[in-house]
Amino acid sequence: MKSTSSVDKKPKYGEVFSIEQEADEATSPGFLVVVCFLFLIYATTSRPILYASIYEWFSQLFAIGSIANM
Amino acid sequence: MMAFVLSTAQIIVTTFSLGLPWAKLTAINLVILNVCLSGSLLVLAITRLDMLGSLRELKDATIDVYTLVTTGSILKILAILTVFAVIWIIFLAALYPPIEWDALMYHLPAVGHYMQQQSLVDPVLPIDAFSKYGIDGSAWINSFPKNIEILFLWATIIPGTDILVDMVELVFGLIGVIAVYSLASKLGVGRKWAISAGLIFFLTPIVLAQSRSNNIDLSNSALILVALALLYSGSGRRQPGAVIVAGIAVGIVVGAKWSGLLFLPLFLIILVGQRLFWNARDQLSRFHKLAYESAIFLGPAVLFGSYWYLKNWYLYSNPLWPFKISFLGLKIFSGPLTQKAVLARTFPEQLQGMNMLHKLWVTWQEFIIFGYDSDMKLGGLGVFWFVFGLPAIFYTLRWIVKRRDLAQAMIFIVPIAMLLLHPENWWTRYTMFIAGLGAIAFAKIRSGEHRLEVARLVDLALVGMMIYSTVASFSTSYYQPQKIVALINRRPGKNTSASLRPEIVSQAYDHVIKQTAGKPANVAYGAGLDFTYPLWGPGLQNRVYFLDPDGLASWIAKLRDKHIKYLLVTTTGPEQKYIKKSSLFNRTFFDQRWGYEVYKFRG
Repeated sequence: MKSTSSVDKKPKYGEVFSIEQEADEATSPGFLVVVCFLFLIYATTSRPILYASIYEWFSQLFAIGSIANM
Repeated sequence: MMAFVLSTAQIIVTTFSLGLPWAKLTAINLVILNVCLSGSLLVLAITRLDMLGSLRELKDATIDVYTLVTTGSILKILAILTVFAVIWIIFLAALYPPIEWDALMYHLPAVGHYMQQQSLVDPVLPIDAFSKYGIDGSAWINSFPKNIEILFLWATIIPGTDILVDMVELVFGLIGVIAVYSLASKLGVGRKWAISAGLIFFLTPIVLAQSRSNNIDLSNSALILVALALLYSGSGRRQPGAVIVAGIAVGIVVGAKWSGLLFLPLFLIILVGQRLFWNARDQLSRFHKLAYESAIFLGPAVLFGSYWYLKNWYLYSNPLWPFKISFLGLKIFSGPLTQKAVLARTFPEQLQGMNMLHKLWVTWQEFIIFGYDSDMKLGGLGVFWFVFGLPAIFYTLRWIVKRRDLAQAMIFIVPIAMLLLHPENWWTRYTMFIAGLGAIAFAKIRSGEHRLEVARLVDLALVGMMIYSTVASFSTSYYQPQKIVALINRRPGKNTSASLRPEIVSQAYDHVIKQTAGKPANVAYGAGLDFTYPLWGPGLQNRVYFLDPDGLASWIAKLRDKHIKYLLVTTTGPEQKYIKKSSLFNRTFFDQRWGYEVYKFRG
């Protein structure tokens, strides 16, 4: 019988996730530095209306809660 | 995921088969057709497939996910936030009527027209006579591609009310969670962090805001993520079935929004690029496979995406009606609008004079003006995206490039191209898919080996950001607790779009609703209005028409023919000259602010 093992061993198509060379993990110390830097930018950006909106939302919620408890 | 896309496709196909070319689009017909179709598929599945085995697998997977969620503290917090958000969205959807500008202007009026005429034929609208009356809100009803509106129609026509229509986008948001999870898993992320990535995507402020809306942007982004997940097979072999379903998903996006036309060739680049890369790596010269995959992808994409463009081409001699299309200064299709003019109308002044990258930088920093809402222009992707997602994409991509894995790299590079090529990419509602990729990239990095204290710090920051984002997302002026309590205490019929958005919706609509409460009527509207959807009333009890005022006698005859009882017009509209000449109109309401009048027609 004619051997077909060489064909069978080969993926039909697409099965090719073999990595030629291992690279280091998808992380780097630089990542955390960038994250800290971006966090600083975000945290120091002023969003007065959003903060007021959140404050107003909770004020209303507590006001409703206190009326309900009376 | 595949089952969801196929179900969506079934809804679209059955709606078209009843709505075109005849007018048989009724709830009962839709139910009968779908029960028959789904029943046949179920019988086929039971006889051909190991259904019990599949159900057992599903049960095991559910238990596995539940165990993971209940044992991991980060995942538990994200899951609690997600459950809270879903319950809150369903509660708001049940309580609030549709309030979004685009929904009231064209997404839902299309549903109203299709439902009342029981067909998908274009209704008669002022835009069809634009040279006479100019452009108004109805410009988009007939011109806009409407695959997702078909789903809105489905959610409305079967229950006979629009209460469920507010939850359609929520379903897409949850499908987005599964798509992100699937893609993360295929990229080698462990199950815990892959689920976390899905939940992080859902908890993105603009995703939460869109989940409650009647816009179609979340469905588009979710379907883009689904198509990406289906096209990328990870360590396995790409299956033809997945390519076909990815084609359907992309086709639905093409037939849902003009920007889908931009995304289709980019998806084809992913498909072809990945195939060529895999063939080259495996030393295969199977170009016939490439042609086969391209055909089974493009076929469904064209089938599900082309109707609305062909219809416009046939009816208005322009597939992209109402836009004027030019190439190198040469006019290809004529239309009353230019894309430039439309973009200029919605462009925020805070971004004036900036180049594209500067605009993205500013909008991602979230200079929020009014808090998070579905239509916000200066933010929406949240703090997580800016702090973690954005750099994570860069670092993950760098890592993938080092590994020379083009197939994986394309999963990030092509969506980045989609983002950069989109003409309104600063408007986060159009680019939510990038938040999903940011979450995946973060999960990829976080799931690697880290020092314990670093991991703890990152987890703490993640939890803090997600709690803040979720709370901030619901603190908009539309959903303030006092307003919600007032809505609960009011009779359901009184919760109208005009009462909730008086800054954009005239009280004239409420007057019509009040007059027709309990006694449904036929209502006509004139040219020049922004919104028409509120005229259908709560429960869509009214019938709504535009009747071209082409002459006093003929217009009166049309009003009589349609048994019109009320008429909403603008004080500057073309109907005024006939109203003034006739004694059949009795003005019952005048809104000076908007220049709207309501007349009772005594014909």
